[in-house]
Amino acid sequence: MKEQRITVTIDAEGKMSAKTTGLKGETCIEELEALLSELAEIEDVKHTREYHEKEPQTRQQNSNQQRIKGGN
Amino acid sequence: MSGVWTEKSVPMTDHECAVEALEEVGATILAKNQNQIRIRINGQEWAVQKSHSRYSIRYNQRTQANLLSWMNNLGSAYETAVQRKLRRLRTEEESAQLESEREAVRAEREAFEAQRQGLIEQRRQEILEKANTLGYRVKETKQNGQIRMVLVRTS
Repeated sequence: MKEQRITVTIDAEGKMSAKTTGLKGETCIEELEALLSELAEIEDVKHTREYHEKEPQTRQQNSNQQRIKGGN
Repeated sequence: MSGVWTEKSVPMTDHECAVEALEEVGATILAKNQNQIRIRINGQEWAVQKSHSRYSIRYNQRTQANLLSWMNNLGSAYETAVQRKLRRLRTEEESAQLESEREAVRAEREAFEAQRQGLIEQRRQEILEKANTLGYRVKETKQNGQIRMVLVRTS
């Protein structure tokens, strides 16, 4: 069972921030938008190492694509 | 951790302070009412709309984001306007000659201060509702006026 976690903070001035854990690739931004886009502009999400990780199946597909491209 | 996001500036809840802040960063006010402030800045016109208790601009992030650099200083200009308004209201409250005048200014100051609390509560409620819809469990804590909501979902 994978755990997906979003920690949202609202400071005393009403300003929000959010941190995601366990969400990889575009899912991270999609979840933040689903949760907060009506309340604020979701832009400039700082990506961490986990963001750039992909699910194993997707990684294999990308690797194949690179090979095809490299072979042209 | 996979992503970190921080709202760019303090949300603008007060009409008078929003207008002051917009002028401070160089905008010309074309028209204004409680729900909308139309401005011109750097040759472009924008509508600053009140929605979800705050003033904001809806724009196309792909094509218009580079036209909004003037917004970088808007948050601090708004905060300055808020502090200035608070100081003015406190001074008026202290120097009011009549009790009725003092009461009126106090009510205005309290309403002004309550706007921000209203926004915080509205945001908290909307996040809770959306989190439930998206299937997250929510654990909430409050400390030093800050609300921390931890949303957890297993898949």
